Parts: sequence; C-alpha cells; structure tokens
Amino acid sequence: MKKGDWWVFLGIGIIIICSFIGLKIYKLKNKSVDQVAIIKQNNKIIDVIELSSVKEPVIIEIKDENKKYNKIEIQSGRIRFIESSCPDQVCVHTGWINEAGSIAVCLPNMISIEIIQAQQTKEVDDVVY
Amino acid sequence: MRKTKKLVTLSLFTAMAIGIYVIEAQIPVPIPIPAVKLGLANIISLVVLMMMGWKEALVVTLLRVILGSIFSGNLPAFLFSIVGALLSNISMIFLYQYGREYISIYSISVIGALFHNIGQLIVAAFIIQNVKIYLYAPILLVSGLITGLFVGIAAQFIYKHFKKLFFN
Repeated sequence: MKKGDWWVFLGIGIIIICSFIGLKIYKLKNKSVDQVAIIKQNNKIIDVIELSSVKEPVIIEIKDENKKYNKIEIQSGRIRFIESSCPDQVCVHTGWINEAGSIAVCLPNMISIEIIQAQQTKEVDDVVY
Repeated sequence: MRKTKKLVTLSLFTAMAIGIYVIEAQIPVPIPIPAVKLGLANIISLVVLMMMGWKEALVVTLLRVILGSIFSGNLPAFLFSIVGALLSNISMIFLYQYGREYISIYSISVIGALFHNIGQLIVAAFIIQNVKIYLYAPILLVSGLITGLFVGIAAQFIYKHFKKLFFN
C-alpha cells in the first residue's frame, strides 16, 4: 500500500456513500409524489385516489345491491380495508398497503384496491400483475 | 524481448484471458443483477500492462473481448463488454503510466473495475433509452470495489511469480 491509496479509497468511499444517499432521496421523493390508489368493484374502476393529496383520514363505504359492504380507510400515503361483510376477512387482514404494485382484494365482494404510479394512469390503458 | 518470444507470450496471455472469460461466464452469480460479476479476465489485462506495456495490454483486452464473446456465446453482451473493457483499460493504463509512484496496483485495479461498470451503465442507458438505469449505480460501485480489490491482489500475486518465469 502506498500513500495515494488511502486517498483513492477515501474518494471511492465518498462516491459510494453519495450514490446511496442519492438513491434514497430519489426513492423518498418518488414515494411521496405520485402514487394513486385505484378501487375497483366488479372489475370496473369506481374510484381513483391520489394518496399523497389526502391530508385527513377518510373512510369510504362501498355497498352493493346484496347488502354486502366494505369500508376503506385512506390516510396520507396509505390505504386499507377497515371493515368488510365478507366471511374470511382476508382483505382486512392484508392491512395497510402503500407501495406501487401492492394490492388488497376482497374476493367475495369483488372489490380490489391497487396502487400504481401516477404516470402509468396517463399512459397505460390497463395494468395487469 | 525478442520478437518471437513477445508474440508467443502475448498469445499465451490472450489464450489465458479468453479461457478465464469463458469459464467465468459459467459461474452463477449470487446476486441477480446483470452487470455484477467477478471480472477475473481483468487479471490478465493488468498483468500484461505491468509486464509488457500499455499497447500490448490494449491488444490483449480487445482480442479477449471479441473472441471471448464469440466463444462464450454471449454476443448480445458484446457492446457492453467492449465499452466497459476499453474504458476500464484506458483508465488503468493512464493511472499506471502517470501515477505508479503514488498508488499501488490495488487502487489501479479498483478504479479499473469501477470504470468497467460505469461503461456498462452508459451503454445500458443508451440501449434502453432510460436514465433510470443509473439507479443501479450504487450496487455496481460496491461490487466494483470488492471485485476490483480481489483482481488487484490476484494480479499482484501473479505478476510477482511471472516476472521470474518470463524475464530471467
């Protein structure tokens, strides 16, 4: 090892740390800006919510003609099923979802929530996972 | 060095580099990221650079990338390989020519590995037309640091023993 080696490794270390910080910042920014929750009933979109624009917690209720109901709670950046009339309660146990690509489904009531990036809603007709 | 001896030595080095390149292509990488690999063939480039000079190192690297891509059946990756290898080799040559007194072969190897990954990122960004590929940069930098250090140590070790073999 010569004298200059330490400077080289110091420089590389700084570059690597900077790149990781940059990645973190990029991810944080992307997370807060443009995530959209799409609520579907019987495969039809019934509501589109921009999660970051929600300030106060909101609870919406979805009913259908057979007295089945689902309650969905929305907070800033996240969304969940809070109550459901279905027997298995899978959707409630899914809990909060907050990342693009994640999905919560209530199969008996044919209701689903999925989160996608906002740009995709403008460019793509439909998203299949 | 006599002309014939030089020719044979260079051919041997090229053959070794291609052999390493082809075998390395068969080793599975534990991380599922395309550009992460050991880069063992870089050992030969470094050794040639130290033993014979920069022109020879460049020739061996070029031949290794062209022939190695054909032999390993990985021709689609040719563009990635050649840009990365050239960039890495040129940076190592430059450092070896002008910075030999200040930095050891380990640092030269690490910087070469980093430039190899940077070259591949540039090509990838051009091909898929998406700057977001640079999100890979941190991982590639870390992998370049580790593999580069390993290659540098190996090259130093080989150089020490080859010197006795070829230049006695």
